[in-house]
Amino acid sequence: MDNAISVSHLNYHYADSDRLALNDINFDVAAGEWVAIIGHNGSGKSTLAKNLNGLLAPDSGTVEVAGMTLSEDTVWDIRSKIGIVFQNPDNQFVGATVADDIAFGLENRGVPRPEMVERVKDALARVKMTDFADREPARLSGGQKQRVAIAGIIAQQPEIIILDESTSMLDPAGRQEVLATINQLRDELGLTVLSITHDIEEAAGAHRIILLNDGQIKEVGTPEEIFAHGSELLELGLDVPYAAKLKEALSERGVKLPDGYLNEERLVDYLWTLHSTM
Amino acid sequence: MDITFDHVDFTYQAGTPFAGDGIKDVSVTIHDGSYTAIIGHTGSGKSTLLQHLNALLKPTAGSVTIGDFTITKETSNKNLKPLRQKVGMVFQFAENQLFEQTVARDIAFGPKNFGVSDADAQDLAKRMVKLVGLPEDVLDKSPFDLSGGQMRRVAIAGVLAMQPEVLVLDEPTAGLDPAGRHEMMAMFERLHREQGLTIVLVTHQMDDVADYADHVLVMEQGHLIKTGSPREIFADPAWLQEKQLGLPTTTQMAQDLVNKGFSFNPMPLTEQELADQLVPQLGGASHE
Repeated sequence: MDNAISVSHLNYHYADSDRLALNDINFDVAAGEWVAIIGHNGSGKSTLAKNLNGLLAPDSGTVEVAGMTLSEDTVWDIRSKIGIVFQNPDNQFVGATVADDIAFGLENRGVPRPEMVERVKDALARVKMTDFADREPARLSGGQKQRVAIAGIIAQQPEIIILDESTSMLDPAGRQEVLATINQLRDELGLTVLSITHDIEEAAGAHRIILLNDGQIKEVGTPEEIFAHGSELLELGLDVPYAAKLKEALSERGVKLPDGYLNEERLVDYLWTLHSTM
Repeated sequence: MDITFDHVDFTYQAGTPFAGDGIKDVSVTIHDGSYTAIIGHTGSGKSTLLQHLNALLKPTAGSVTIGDFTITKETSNKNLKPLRQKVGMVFQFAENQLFEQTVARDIAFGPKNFGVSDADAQDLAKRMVKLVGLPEDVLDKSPFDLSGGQMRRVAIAGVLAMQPEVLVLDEPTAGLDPAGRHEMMAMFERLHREQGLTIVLVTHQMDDVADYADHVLVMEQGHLIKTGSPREIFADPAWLQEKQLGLPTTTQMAQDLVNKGFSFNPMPLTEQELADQLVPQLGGASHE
């Protein structure tokens, strides 16, 4: 399968610092894949996202997006393929109403009006914000704003969507719902998703996880492989998945459980086999 | 200082085409010295309720009594200053309200506005930086050179420098990494315990509710639909799921185990409680 994103030997430092914010970053993301990037605050996650669509220009190394190498000549083509939803939606609202705001990006791209109206309607329905089409974005709650910001990106039908802590203000049910919506789009349209997150349960739903630490890739692996590190994750400023914590509490009480990471479902199943043999 | 809501309504942009309900007929008391969590779906009125705690919003009907103050829609904005000192607000992304050239000046700004001398305000700044767990050498730095988590601590130090009796927190850990989140929640717990601060926390993190709060208010579409201790609120997983509120991770796990055939009484709120109740239910051969 083609790579949606291909990054090689990417280095980046901010002008006011000697330290490399990104240090020799190499990874590929296949088209249609869902990859989570995790790491503590300041590990370079958002800096990486901004290097992927040319908001920041790398010191050295190359970024390829949808088969194009990022440069001054390709940056606008690449931006038309990538939609980024930033953490704080207030930073990306421009419209007077929710519907206007979502239409803004489409107008900029010269989408004909009838199609625009349809796309706005569809995007709002997908994030369950249809009832808010005529409201002022500034007066919505934090979680509602995040839904609108996501709708704005969905309407543009990008090939790649980057979620930069985009669900941090949603309640747990809302977060599940929004992630399921994006996953459905991934299925339907072959969308590639890069989700930057602290939320270990959100990362657990990804195909692969890239673990960043102090500007370097510490490890790339499936959620099972990454979570097998258990309490080592705490030292990297991350959380330990709940199932791993419970497993530890049980082994402290003398209960023997299999080695390696069990997700919650498998842990429940395993505990049930112990229960049944009583 | 108790805070009592008596049949409070609040309508946003009343009398305009944008009018929308904030909260409806809310009656509740937040007791002095309590740690109260407010939970509810996105847009349920949590933040609206919060802004009544120091009269940033005034009820469109009903009244809010905060210590000696009674706020109704007729209350004038004059003379509310002492109230604003007593109830400290930490908004979402509090670091956005930093503005001064140094951390010390930013923290001292509030107290000085309230008539504290420059020397005393500087002294307060020094103490508050320590209280929020930052090293003293940040005092002379620009707040904008700090990391996001540190900036948020500075903003919180600025609120604490007013020496409030009530600390109101609107999703104070949003956007922090897990380590930062744990540290910050531990800091609030310490302030609650050591300084006797009343804490009102708006959060989506049910684990924080289970771990820290002693009283919970549940909001839905502007209405206060349930109040109780975390144990009472989380005792009914089906009700919470119906309200799309989610459960503490432990309670969710326990519920999954109940569906398999395990039983718990009471529903556990922490993994230690869950492990304690699980062990006797597991087969004898698998553990010593």
